[in-house]
Amino acid sequence: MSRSRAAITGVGLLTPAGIGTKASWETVRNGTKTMAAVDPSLWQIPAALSCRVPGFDGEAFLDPVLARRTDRFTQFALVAAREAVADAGLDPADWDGARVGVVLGNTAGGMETVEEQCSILEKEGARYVSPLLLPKMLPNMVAGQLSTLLGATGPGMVVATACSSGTTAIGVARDLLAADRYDIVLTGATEALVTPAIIAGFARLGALSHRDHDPAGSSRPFDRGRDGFVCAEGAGVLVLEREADARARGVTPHAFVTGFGASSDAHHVTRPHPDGQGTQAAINAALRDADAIPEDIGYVNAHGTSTPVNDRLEAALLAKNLPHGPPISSTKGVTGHLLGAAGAIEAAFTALALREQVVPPNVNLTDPEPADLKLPTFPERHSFDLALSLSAAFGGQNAVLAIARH
Amino acid sequence: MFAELKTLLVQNLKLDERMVMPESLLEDAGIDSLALVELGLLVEQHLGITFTEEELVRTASLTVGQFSDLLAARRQKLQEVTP
Repeated sequence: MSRSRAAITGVGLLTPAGIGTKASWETVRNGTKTMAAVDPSLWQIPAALSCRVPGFDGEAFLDPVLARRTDRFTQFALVAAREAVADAGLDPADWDGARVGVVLGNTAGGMETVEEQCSILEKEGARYVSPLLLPKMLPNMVAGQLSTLLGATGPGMVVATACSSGTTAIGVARDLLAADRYDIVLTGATEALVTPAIIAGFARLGALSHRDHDPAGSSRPFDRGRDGFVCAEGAGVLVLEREADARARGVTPHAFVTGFGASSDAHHVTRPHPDGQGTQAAINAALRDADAIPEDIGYVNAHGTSTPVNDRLEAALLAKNLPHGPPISSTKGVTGHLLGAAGAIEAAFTALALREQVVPPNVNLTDPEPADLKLPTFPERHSFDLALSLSAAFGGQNAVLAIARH
Repeated sequence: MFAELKTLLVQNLKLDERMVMPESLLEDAGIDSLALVELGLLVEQHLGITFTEEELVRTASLTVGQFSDLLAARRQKLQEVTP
């Protein structure tokens, strides 16, 4: 038995695969389509693709004043959090707000706002820069706005570990719950970095797919034809509670966070360590934390970004660690890469996979490069009790969650 | 002038139309310190009326109607000096 389990009692998702948990999960689970498209807002960048949350308009989901005073990354989290709280059967009017906290992951705050205001500064002058610049762009503002919206007055924070931010946030939230800092914690991550300067930056790093002639086939984790990731946006929020508290409320948790492991490569700003030692350390730590051994792992939701380097290194590491051959998939084939929010939505997908005992498929995987991994290409019924969700990041910060069915 | 001000408050700042009454305090209508700075810019861009930061801060305690009257007076003054 893990030392510190946290029950996942609520899930809220706003992803390119759909608005709401049901729509997002069904699209990912069925693997019927991929969400990438040529993005007209990125016209300055050659072959710019993105995975957008379909038809999202903050004003349609939030109070209009709140919507215009929040950046898109905050809007995503507010909408997802509201769904997660309702899914958990909680009513903010009834809870002791001082025992409710917010631990969210995010990479860079409201860059859409920053880029817009930089343009105004340049064209019109400092006097015309909006007073809402800082309230909209600060990364921690999402936790501030969420605590205000839901009356959560316990400790609130945003953790930033780039593309492992969501996984790190859930791990930190689990630790703080175990340390009795909260009774309820809203955790996960949000990201809205499909902006011209950010995409240009990723393009200059050679990280993005160029398949604008075939957008639907552009995000293809573990496929030999992969050529980079597709930048995506969205949010995933989980409600974590102690199991006893959830049971006392008569709630059956979706699943449990039973282990968290994190490490730093200490190697390079963008390239993962070539022998995967950092991810290895994070996997080992998560398994130790969950009191589990590799053979207990029945499914892995891989980081699987669709970049040539990541997928090759990750596949080799998983083959070495999990010789019993559990199914492995990267749901980024459907959603694209949500950067800091990726780990959060993938932890949610992993929890839902455990609950339904089904493994979501790898889409666009027609020519698997790693021959020694079980990479399902159709949704697969599967009996399993423990899964891993892996994330890695620029900066070398690796994070792994162990998520259990019971 | 009230109608023009109301348009800025409701359409640009998304305030609740029902709260934008002549007798409502700006603050009660939803104009906090941030929105006041935005309103100053909107008034400049849409109505051509400029406030200094100090003048703007002093309007914070006004009602919507009083602010509208102030705008009307400023416009009148502008028209007098700009034949």
